[in-house]
Amino acid sequence: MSDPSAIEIHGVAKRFGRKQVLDDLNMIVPAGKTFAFLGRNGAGKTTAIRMLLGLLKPDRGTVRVLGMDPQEEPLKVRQRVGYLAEDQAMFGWMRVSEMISFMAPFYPTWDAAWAKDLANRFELPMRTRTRHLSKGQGVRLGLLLALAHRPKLVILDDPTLGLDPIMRKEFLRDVVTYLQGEQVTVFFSSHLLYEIDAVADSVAILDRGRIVRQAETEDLRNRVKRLIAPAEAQSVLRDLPGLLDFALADRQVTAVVEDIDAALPVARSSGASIEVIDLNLDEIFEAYVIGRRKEQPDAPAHLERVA
Amino acid sequence: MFLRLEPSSGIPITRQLVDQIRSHCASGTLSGGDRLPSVRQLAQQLAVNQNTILRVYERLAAEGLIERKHGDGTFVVERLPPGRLKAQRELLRQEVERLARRAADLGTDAAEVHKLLDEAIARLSREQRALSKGDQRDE
Amino acid sequence: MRQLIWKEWHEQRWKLGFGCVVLCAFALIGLRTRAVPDESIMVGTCALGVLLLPILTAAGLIPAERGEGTLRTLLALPVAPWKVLAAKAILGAMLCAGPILAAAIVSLLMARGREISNGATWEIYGRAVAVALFLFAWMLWSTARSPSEGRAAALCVGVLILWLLATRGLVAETHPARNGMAESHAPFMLWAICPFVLVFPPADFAPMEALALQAVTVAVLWLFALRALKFGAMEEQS
Repeated sequence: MSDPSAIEIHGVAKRFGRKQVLDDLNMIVPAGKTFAFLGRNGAGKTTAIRMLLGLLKPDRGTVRVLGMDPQEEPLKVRQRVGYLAEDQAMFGWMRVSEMISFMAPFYPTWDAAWAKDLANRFELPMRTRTRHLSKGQGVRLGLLLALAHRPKLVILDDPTLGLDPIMRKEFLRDVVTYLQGEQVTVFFSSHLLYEIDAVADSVAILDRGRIVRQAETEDLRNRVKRLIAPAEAQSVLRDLPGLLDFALADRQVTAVVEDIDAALPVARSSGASIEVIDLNLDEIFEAYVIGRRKEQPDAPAHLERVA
Repeated sequence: MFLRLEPSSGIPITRQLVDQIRSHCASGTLSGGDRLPSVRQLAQQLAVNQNTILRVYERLAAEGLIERKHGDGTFVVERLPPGRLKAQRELLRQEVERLARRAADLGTDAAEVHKLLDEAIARLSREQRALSKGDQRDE
Repeated sequence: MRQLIWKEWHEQRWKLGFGCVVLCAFALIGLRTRAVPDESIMVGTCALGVLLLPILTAAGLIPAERGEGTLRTLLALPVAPWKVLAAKAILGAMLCAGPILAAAIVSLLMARGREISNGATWEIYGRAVAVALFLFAWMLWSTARSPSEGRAAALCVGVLILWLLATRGLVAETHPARNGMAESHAPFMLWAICPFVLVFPPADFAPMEALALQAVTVAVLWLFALRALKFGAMEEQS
């Protein structure tokens, strides 16, 4: 009987020196879905991922991956999980074929025929040394190595780092093609949002060491909206339920709310005409992470773009 | 069938795709009986989550625009439902409302708006005529 | 495990070849020209080996891998960290012992017992191998957290100098003439952990006892090295 959730994290905290990187992290990743883990650079995504693989020990809290504790059984967890790290360093001198045969004995479920098939589909030259591969090919090799043992869970830590937009799209296409629809859980960490948008079933936003929002992508897009109203409505808009961001500009006031169904009636009660704007995932993320909940008249109208 | 996704648009992907396929049905690019790509194929083509494509197809099926024939695939229905005109009109109505609000913001009066609209329609029909003439010449 | 050893072998084989060539050439030329007594040549070859091989080996095993980022990749695999360390230790041992043994064979063939017996030759080279191995163990542990090859090499040189000074100090303190057995009143602990005890064992220590002491030291060092390897690799925040 398989676990309904692939990953469960409860109350995890981790401190490095003086910095509290993770603080009461709670997350449940359902099996068979594509889950995007969003956060700014340095927000703690990689730290959390390392804990999933048993590479780091949390100060507090519990972690369960595929029903196992990665601290107790790290090797078993890693044998069942496909892992592609950000900017993965490979053994430069090894040829592609050697990398594949090097990795194989570590995994009891390695499927050599499937590895060969993937190598052909990814058009990877077998005799080339990994240091001579292009960035895109390197990532594809990493993906091959993560998939070849037919894992039930694949963890991708910012795998498209350093890839150009075309390669990124190809990578996401590969994820959709080879992983979705196979009941494989994909856990994807990134800070490139509008691409994740198309691929992820659910997203979780990590900010200041905790998950500030976890929801299905579609749901999030349907609920988090921007309201624009004439300035007279500002007193009402300032106190909307689930307010994420609030800004006043001359004759208009704008607010981003978590749940449009709860907030719109309240906003309309002000009597002013309210315009509802759809937001893309980038903007939703911004609202959660750098949204100003209290109006600051001197704050710049647009904060720096999340990289 | 050509589908285009605007990745950074605020409009959810499901809605973008449903709208586009609906437009294709209305304009004739997709006619009754045409075969649509499978969920897997379309997902791969667009690099979009399979569940999203599934939802798109389900929504279109609920509107009566497409049907899934077990084993065969997904097809546009032979006779497009009359209700679709109503759905199209609803979409158009929303666009027009947005336009009206925009005009109000810009301080444009009603007469000016009508004039602009007439000009746009005229220009469009001219272009369509030129295109169909071009097609005739090619044949 | 097999592929781990294969990987280390592939990465280090050039160094092994280089070490063999250098030491054998040294022994060969020295024994050929006979400008100096045979024994000096052999001791010289051994000294060369003992001074250079452990440093070059240790600096190139863990720190080089860490510098390239591949250590993290390696430790993220479903493999027990001790196996990773063991594969490196095995190759390191081969790298330290191999060239010295090769030079031993060359010496035996060249000198053919003309000035000193074959048995004595083996003893010289044998001790050298042992000292090199134990020095390597110290250096492997001390470089387990090093981020780069260069810094690690410097660290190893430091370790070597420390042990040389300690040995000199110990020996000089107890015995003015440094040859063969030294009468030791030095603290037992220091003798227990200094690799050079195999070359200058105290009077009440037989070579076998000295060897046993060093083996115990290495066992302890192994545990420290393992710990350092694991934590050094992952505790840094990216």
